[in-house]
Amino acid sequence: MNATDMKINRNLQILSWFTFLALSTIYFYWFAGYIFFYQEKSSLFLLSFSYFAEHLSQPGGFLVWLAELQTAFYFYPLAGAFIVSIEICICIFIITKIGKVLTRNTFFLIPFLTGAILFYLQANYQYKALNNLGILMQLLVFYLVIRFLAGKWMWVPVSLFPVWYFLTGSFSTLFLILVAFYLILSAEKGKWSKLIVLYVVGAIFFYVAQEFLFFQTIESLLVYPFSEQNIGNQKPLFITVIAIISMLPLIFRFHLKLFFKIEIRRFQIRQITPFLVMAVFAYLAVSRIDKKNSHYFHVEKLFYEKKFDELINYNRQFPSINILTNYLNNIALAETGKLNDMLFQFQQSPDGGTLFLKWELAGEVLKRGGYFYWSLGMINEAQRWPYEFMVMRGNTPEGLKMLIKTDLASGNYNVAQKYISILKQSVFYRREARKFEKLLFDDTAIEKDAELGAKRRLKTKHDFFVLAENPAANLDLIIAADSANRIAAEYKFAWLLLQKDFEGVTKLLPLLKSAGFERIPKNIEEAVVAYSLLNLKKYPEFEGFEINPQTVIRFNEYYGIFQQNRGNKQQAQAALRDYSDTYWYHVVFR
Amino acid sequence: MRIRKITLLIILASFIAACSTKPNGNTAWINNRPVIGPDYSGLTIPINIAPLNFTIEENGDAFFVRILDEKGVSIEVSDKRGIIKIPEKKWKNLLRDNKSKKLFYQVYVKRGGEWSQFEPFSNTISDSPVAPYLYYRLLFPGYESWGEISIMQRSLESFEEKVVVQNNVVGQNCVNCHAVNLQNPDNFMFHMRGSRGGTYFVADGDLKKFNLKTKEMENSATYPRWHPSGKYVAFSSNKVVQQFHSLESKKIEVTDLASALVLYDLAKNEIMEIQVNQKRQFMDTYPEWSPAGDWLYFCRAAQIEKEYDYRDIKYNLYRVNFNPSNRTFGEVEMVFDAAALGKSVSFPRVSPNGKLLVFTLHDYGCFPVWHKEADLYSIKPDDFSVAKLEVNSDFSESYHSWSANGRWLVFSSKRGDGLSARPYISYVDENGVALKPFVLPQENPKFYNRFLKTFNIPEFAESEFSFTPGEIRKAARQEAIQPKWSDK
Repeated sequence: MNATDMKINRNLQILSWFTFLALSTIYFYWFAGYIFFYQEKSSLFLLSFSYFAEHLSQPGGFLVWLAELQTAFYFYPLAGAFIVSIEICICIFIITKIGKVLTRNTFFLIPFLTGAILFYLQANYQYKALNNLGILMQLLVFYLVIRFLAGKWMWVPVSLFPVWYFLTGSFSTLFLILVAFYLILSAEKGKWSKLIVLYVVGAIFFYVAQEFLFFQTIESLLVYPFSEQNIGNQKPLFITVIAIISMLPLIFRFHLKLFFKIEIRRFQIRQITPFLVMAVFAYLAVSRIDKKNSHYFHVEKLFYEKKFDELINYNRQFPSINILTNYLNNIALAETGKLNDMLFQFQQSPDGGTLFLKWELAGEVLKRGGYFYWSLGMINEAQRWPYEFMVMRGNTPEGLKMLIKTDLASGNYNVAQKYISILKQSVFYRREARKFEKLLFDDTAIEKDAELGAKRRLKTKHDFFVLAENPAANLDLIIAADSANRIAAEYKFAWLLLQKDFEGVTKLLPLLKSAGFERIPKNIEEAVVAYSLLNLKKYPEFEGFEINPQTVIRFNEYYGIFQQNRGNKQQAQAALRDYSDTYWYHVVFR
Repeated sequence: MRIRKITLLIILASFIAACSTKPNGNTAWINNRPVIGPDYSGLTIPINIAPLNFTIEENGDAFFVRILDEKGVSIEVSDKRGIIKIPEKKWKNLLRDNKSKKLFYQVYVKRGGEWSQFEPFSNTISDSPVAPYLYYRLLFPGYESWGEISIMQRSLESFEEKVVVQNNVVGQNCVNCHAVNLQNPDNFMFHMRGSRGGTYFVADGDLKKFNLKTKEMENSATYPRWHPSGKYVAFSSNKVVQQFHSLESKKIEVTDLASALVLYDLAKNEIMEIQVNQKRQFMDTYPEWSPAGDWLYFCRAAQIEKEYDYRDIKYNLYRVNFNPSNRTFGEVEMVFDAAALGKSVSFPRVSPNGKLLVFTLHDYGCFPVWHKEADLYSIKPDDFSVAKLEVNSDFSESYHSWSANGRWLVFSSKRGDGLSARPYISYVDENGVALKPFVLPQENPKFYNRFLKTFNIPEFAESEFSFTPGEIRKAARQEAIQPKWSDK
């Protein structure tokens, strides 16, 4: 290779790294920022020695601790996008360097192909930080070993492998395989004895670890911290990238010489491979943008920020059929007193799945189900859901905040203080922790707080056993104890409407007054009008409320169109599209 | 040049004086005792207890504590944040040299450059040592789910804590009720629920898994108590339901729908009904043996009907005579009629000398852990006279257990925050009077402020033991040994 070639090589290398970094950061920030929101909300990193020590209870815990630290910075999506991008770029850089050490040549295809796969994997919102970080750590240590250690110094990594296994868990297998291939292919003196000792030391340590040191299952000791869920169930692709990385010494040894000789004009094809790889993966990445999850996580973000009106407007603008999205939307509607005005403007689940979630220990339901009860003022139950989640999966920022809020609202200040002290150890939630801290042992401050004061006032007035498997049944128990609970009334009516229970809605109308409604909400009024007109009954009399004549006119129009098209349901549905936000449309077509 | 040096020395000396961590010269007097956490004042403490580290919860720029014996020998500790960690070696020596004597605590605070001294407080060192080890289960005081659950062994003479059993070793099974016989860990057992479920016994130094539910039993063996001979274990066999309150004062309600007593004979590997309730009129639970093994105490309530009000279930304390040679039981005798007081009894525990039985008294049911009103009471088996112990708080006290010398009682109390139980240790004098309890000391005195897990079923032990992860896995993989049902 002449000097000009070397210069072109170096410039292309630098250009391709920066292009990769820039494109990747832009992609993750602009198109996949929800990944960082989801992951940041899935764990809570604490700056304390005890938190660090907890992670040392099993091999791989240190890597998890580092990854959680990284995830904490996802609080700022731009930081998240930059961190994951730079991590991938470093992987590419190190693989290039490994190639250089092993062959004295600069390679582009394998490093950029590996980087592109890591980028593609990362585009899945469930692909956790520990994976790329784990891979990066193995590559880095392997590079340092082959670059700086040789001869008798090679005994250092061989003998220290147990430490590396303890720190990085199952990811150290990658290092083990890399070293094995490296030793086998090298001319290193005493390579077979080093290889045997490496594996024997590893096996002995594993035996000692599983027999005497760690209270984990053997499967967990072998696999942790890897899990299919943590790679977003992208097993084939993940195995592919691991296979490529673990065989790097082999691949670099037997590289395709012919491929490297192909030239297009002045450029060898290998020099433009980074751009080809990037182009292919950019195309694939765009197709990977997960609009459904992007939409959902944006809604969840607005929900956590209590921007209920913005959330409702967003859902109106971009309607969703996702049950969780509409569940959060319904809470926003209830909190803003619009549930029975706008219920049917959004997709509803007839079994009530969009109103309340059924108790379920598995999955992510536990993380969100409590918000319905918090909205109702069932504070014990609002706490039980995030508490159980915390017991099984550890702290999350929003879960911990809910524990704090429920204990503050209940006046359990000593327990709230503990949770606050934990939140104060976080990286980015200290300000919120201090805000909560000011409310401790101060009933007046709690009463004055917009959210906590409201929930304290809404607290269920009589004790009963919660029916978590039948959330709707709780509404009757709350209303029986406190008919002034407006949110419970909103949900009760919404539930009856979803059940197409005209009569139930009509009978329950007096609740509107005791719950503080000033007018009949739109969807309830539609049910009452339909019930009365279809059954030839008078409108039920209830003090202070009047039926809007426009609703009657609208119903008659609706009914007329429906009668004209009654022979053909599809035709009728198309003709009545303008009424899709009405209770009448729901009754017939959903 | 010389003047410059002197000036520098004066500045340096002033700086050192200003930063002094120890009062020197005149100190002002504060007419009250300092607030310390945990409250380790006015106690009777065991001669072999680990240092009672504490924090001074007063405002100040620096703090200084001097712990003196009657001869004036002292330990001095200072800290800017008021975190008082007493050197272990000096503490041990001080306790050893002051058997049955008092220790005095002088607490100083520095505010605005001036030192002030609080009114001192004292503790008395008992000549009765506490058992060297404490066993407890550490878990989140949760409701349905569990994460990591461990049975831990803590040295009471130091801060060393180690795992005895942890559920993760067999994959998220739930480890529950453990029992040690007469503080001797050679007779140890625990239950495990889940894929590797069973009752695990230490037998001949090995851990073995048993399935204590036979086809003749309606429910599994639950709450265990070892017969002092180590030959038998009495269990209650319970059918339990749990429900969740909507109001915050009491979060969870655990109710027995049915329960009976069974006896497991280790030598014969037989399990039999304790025939005290053949007509199934009662729910019997929480067995407890007298130290001689000739009486079996238990709690009994009327069998509930299909429609019941959980608040009406009241358990009384009963006992029945037992003949260990032929495994026969005599006539049942009521020991304490709690229902007559509108109350309910649980967790009877007889002192090693048999002169005192301590139980938990609460409003209803048999699961007082979530009952704020649950308090510890004692009854003398000789004359059935009852007294409330002076160790109670506004929160739940339960799961108590005696030391082998009968001088120390450990119990779980939720007085800290109402949610997580902590082990409290109290000295019980020869008249059965329990003195002011103290919480299990921790190296970091702020430990309890952040620790969320609960200390469940604390029990003293005279020696240490633990299982390696490999031993537990090996036992878990074994086929459970099935005892035979015996009608006699």
